[in-house]
Amino acid sequence: MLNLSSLQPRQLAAQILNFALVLSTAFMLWKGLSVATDSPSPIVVVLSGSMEPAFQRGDLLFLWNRGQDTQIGEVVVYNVRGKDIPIVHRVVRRFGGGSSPLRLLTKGDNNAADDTELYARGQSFLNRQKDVIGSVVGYIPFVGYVTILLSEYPWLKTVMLGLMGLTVVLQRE
Amino acid sequence: MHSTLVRAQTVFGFFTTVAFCVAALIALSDFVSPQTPSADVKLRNVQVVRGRPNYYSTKKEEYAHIKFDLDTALGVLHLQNQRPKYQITDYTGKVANRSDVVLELGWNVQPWVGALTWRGWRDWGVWKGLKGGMTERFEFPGIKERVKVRKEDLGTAKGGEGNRGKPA
Repeated sequence: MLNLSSLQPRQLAAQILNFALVLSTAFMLWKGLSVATDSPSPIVVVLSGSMEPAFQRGDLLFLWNRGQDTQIGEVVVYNVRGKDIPIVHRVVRRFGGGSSPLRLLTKGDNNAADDTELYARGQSFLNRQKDVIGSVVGYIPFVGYVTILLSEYPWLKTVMLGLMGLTVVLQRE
Repeated sequence: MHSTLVRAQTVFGFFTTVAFCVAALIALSDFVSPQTPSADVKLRNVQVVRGRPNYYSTKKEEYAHIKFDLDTALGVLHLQNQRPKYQITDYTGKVANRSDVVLELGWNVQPWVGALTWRGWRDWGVWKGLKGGMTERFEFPGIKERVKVRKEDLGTAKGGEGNRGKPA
């Protein structure tokens, strides 16, 4: 049964098409969610323990980026300028808004100090519009842990891709 | 076909379906459990002192030390992470003699799974708005003259330096 040569070319092509369909559907869903939430990355995984006990490593967070009047106490996800790591921290201070851009100061619940040290050099507040990619509205614990595993043990990626490819190609209707 | 692989797939698929259904029920149960929060915040004492945001900083800021009494009845909600070490100042770094200051109680409900919610002033479904939870307007006093301010009073957390700047 597990023999590639026994597959008809037509069947093989159908399987490949099937695989492409799955991939493109996932991509479309992701981008659709992006448009709906107005956020470049509407679902993020918590990467560190700086927001414990609210969020642990590996928790999955859903973001919303419409209505940018962020209040104190909300948890926002932002990218530090020049770096591409999303950071999930709570807003502890805000000023501006209206005609001038809204500025936020954030802090991890589990950190001793606020994030001034974490921001780009010379920056002491976040710009709501430019730096923040969304405000956390939903939460599922632990489900995202697999992405942490994948980034910490890169060989797992190869193994997983290989397995996925094999099952799709070898699976028969 | 009933190979081991197919069976394993079926079991795993069933497991994820059940897990997500239970999670959805838990998330929805939040919105049908009534909340009738009430709270009472009373100001006891305010002082304003000069200090630095952290040990290595050269920036001088004014911080307000506020002592207050808090009496809450939040019902089913459990309190966590109510650490009182936040620095009370603003972006100008000057808070002495500031008027129209109000203390306001707020919270964020962290669910087991589902939607995050925040303190509300208005009724919403079976949730009642918060009653009380705000002080009268008051004024910050002038800067307290330096009479040997102890280090912990400045809000510079000792030993917390290693826990600074961890991303996410």
